[in-house]
Amino acid sequence: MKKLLALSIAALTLAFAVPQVLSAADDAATIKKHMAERKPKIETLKKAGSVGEAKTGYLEVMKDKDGKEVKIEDADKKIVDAENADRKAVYAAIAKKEGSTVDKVGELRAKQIRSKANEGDYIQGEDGKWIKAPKPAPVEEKK
Amino acid sequence: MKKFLPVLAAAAVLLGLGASACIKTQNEVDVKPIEIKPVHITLDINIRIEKALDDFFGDLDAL
Repeated sequence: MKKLLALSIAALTLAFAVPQVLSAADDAATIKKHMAERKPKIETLKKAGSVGEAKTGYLEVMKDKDGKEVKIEDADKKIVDAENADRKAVYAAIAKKEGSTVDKVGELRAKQIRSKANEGDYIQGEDGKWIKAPKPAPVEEKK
Repeated sequence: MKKFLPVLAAAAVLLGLGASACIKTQNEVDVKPIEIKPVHITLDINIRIEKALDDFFGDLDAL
């Protein structure tokens, strides 16, 4: 009985503590809302070097020198997977509208992400190499 | 013969003028339809995709 109670409490805690992860079938407004909710955690993971922005337009868990993925919490992995699923849904919608492919839309989004990346975040170039994003170039003021 | 030279020259000029009036020329300029190369279509699609991405992710990126 005690075990059952403990499990129930744990389940309820998880349900409220972890950001809601919904399927990619949600509409655009819902997807955007969830992306906004996940963003702070994703930024933290990027800053820690655990996750990077791949040239495909998706998040990837970084790998160590041996090629093994760095250790991240299961909850964080779910957040990354949910973010990628939502991104794929958005890319698919745009690809369908513009007569392109999901992969192409992802590549173009990756290019945008690279140009806006925070200094030190891992980004993958078109050549496949992972680098740390440089300091953004200062915006020149028009005289 | 020398007396007839001016007359011959005048006749030749008159003949030439008459001939040019009879000769009609027609020039036709072929206007081929403008061919849009595939690279232009690709660039156009990429620009539209980038705009669609900006429209969706713009405010998210600004957070």
